[in-house]
Amino acid sequence: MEDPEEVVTNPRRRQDEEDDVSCCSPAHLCSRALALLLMCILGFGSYFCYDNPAALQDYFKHDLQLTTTEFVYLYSWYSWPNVVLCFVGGFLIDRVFGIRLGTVIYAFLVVVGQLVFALGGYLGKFWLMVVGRFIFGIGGESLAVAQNNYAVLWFKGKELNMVFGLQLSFARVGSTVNFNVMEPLYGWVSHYYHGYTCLGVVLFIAATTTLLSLISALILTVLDKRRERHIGQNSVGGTEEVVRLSDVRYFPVTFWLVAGICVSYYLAIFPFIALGKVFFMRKFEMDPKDANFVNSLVFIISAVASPLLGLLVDKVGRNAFWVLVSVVSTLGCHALLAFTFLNPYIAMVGMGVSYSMLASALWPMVALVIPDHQLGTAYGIAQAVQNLGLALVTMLAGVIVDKGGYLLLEMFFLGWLCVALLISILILIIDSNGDGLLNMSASQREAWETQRSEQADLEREKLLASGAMADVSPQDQLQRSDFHIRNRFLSRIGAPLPEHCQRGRRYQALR
Amino acid sequence: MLWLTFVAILIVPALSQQDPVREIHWASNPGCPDNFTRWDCNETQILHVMAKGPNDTINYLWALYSKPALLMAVTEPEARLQIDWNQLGNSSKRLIRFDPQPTYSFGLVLDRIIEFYDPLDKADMTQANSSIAWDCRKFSWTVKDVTSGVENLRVELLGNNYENGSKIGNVSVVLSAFGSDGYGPLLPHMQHSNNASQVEITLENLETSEDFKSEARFGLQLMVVDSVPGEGMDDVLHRRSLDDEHTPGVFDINTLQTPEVRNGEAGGYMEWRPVAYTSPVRAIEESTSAVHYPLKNVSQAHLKGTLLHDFYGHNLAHVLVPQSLNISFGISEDGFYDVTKYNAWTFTMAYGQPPKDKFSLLVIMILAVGLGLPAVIFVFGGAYMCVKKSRTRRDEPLIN
Repeated sequence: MEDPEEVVTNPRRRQDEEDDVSCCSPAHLCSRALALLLMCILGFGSYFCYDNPAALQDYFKHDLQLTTTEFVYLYSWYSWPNVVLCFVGGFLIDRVFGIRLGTVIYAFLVVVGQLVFALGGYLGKFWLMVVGRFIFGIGGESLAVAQNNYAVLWFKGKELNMVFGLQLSFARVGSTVNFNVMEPLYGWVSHYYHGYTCLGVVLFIAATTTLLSLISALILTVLDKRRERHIGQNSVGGTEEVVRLSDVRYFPVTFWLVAGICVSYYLAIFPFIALGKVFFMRKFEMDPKDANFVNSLVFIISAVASPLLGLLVDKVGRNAFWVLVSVVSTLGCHALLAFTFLNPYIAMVGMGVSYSMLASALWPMVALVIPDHQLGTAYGIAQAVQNLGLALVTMLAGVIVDKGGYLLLEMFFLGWLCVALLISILILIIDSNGDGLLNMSASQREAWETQRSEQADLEREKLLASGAMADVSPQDQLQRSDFHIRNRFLSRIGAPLPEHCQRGRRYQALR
Repeated sequence: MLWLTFVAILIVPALSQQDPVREIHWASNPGCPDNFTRWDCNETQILHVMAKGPNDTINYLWALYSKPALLMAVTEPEARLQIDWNQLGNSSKRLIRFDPQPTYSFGLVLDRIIEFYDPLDKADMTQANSSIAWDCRKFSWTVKDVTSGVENLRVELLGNNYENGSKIGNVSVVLSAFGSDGYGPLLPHMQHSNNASQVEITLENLETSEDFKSEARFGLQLMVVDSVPGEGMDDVLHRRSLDDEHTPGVFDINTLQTPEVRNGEAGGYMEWRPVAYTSPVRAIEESTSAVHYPLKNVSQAHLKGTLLHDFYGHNLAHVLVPQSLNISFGISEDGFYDVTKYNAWTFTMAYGQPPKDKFSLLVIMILAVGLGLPAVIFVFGGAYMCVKKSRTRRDEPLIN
């Protein structure tokens, strides 16, 4: 177990280290490219297997005699463990397992979960399949956190954004491949097996992708060990995102509104995709392969559009406005699917673009309203609430389909989108009453940032000019964070600091 | 503004004026004389159901003798029924009459049940390798149950003992007469007006032929005729419906229209959803398709001995156009009939114009509140923001 606090300040290259895995040293491009590839494959297996039920919905219902209400347990039980794990998973990686062991454990859980799921299918025992999805859920979401942590370890600065974007795109590609491959695979396997045995065999074959993820986790472990020996740094450095639930008291209203959109918007996307195949087959009279393809359009488009739209939102700013536009556009797409028989390709393409737009604009908003050291908690809360919502609403969606049909299901999703619409309008109003940060254009935001840092500089000069600077080290002067400066000022005048700001240096009080 | 009009378009039909409610009365074997020999007058073989409204009465005659026949006749409110009992089934005169004459009538006979061999699993009766007909005359039909209320009536018929037991199987026919608008009590919850009756036919435990090796499917042949001379009915009209609230997962409705209905007037029609259920628990997972085939003109000889022949008399041969409507149950890869040995299909048989689709109040409310609330807040919030901005702009020149 590695001690994450250990920082070696003078790395020494060991000349006698033999590279037996690749021909490049860890600092070089091709080694980091290999690591990037492995990090992407890490997430591929779990995203591929997450939507297996959706791609085979009609076979699940037919072979296992399931109602829609029962079918959605496969999704809601994936989400239940993640209500808690969003907080605990990152903590476990930071403090208990370390990044390497943690990743391997989570990848292993994903493999076990999918195997139990497949075994349940092979034996025709639905309860076993739900248990398998539960185990898969424990591993899956935490594996995504581990993936992000690896990225932060290996890549810094501007390239980190690109790496995150690439990881997400790869994940989306995994989902897309799932939707387009599972139907032909089932068709091929059904020549040799029938009924739920056929389903089980198909799921076992799908489990090989999780094995792939486990293998890349193991290879990454080896690579990361070498990186640590050569470069020597194993802590995540200054971007520690510790989760402290007590931080919640300090969160502004805008954060809770953003979390509200995180929940209500995604509730109209993910449960819809889970139930989409049979909806497209029945309402639009599509055959299973086409229905799966249309269902996967959201992910295909997201794989391509997310990085591009992310760039756009970075350049242009005005996040809150883009969120509003996405919600309205998704409302329109769902309305098309509910109230017309118009070709669903149109609506699903629209939904894919809106979904990518919202993801690119929404998550950075959390970083805009929450200070760095509370971001871990903030993201954890947003994810936890989202998973809670998904777990509950997916079950409800299944009941609605059984009792009220697909029109009522669409009305249900439209209702959630109306809630998201309401919240995004509220964000615009409240934000414009405040400092307007969430809806600034990129140039306005830059101007605002320079203004703030100028104020911080002014404050610091005043502090410097007041004398008695003997205990100020050069590193203090390099710190530009206004939080840091404010805290130091407060501690000098003897004001009590909040608990979580106590770590780090203590300062002598001013006379 | 736009969403207000949109909501209004949805609300108006939902709250539209309901039709007047009809009272249902019924009689078994009406006017059956004591010396009647064909069957005991206590044994119901003819049911006369009257749905009495303010302007007219819809009479349903449901008969079990020979083949099950359903007749719907629209008469004046106080019309009387006269049956020539002693010549029933033996004459080509009009033995069953209303006084005064009905303004319109529409009749249906359950002619035969067709068992067809489908080794290629196409679920298409016209492409079957071979088929066996179960003549409905050879079933022994009895009335199992009658449940009546002020505004509705439910009669359960049972046909069994085919050819004195040579084949096993039951055919259950549940007939309902409605006096008010609504939806059928069981799936597929067919929408009906106050001029409607509903027929549910269930083929239960029918013994399939061994030659067909459990790859058999069943279908029905119905004979239909209406009282307008010369014109037969067009093919079945298929339309798509947005609202699957009542039949989750089914977005189609089929209508058999008589020429009057097609021309926008009041006439007879049959409506059904192209779905048949393969289990008494009617879930969408336990359903299969109900496929219809083009109408064919038939000779009136098929209707000999049934109530329709006794009602229409020789008009059936010379003036009216009886046609056959075939329906088959099954879809590829559903395992054929033998997997559950249960096929249930429902249709409404009614007078007037087919009911229009309308969204339920729940749908309208969700739209109204869901879109209205954000719109209101957007408008007021935007106005508030504009007012605030103009106020700060006015204040600025005051700051030096």
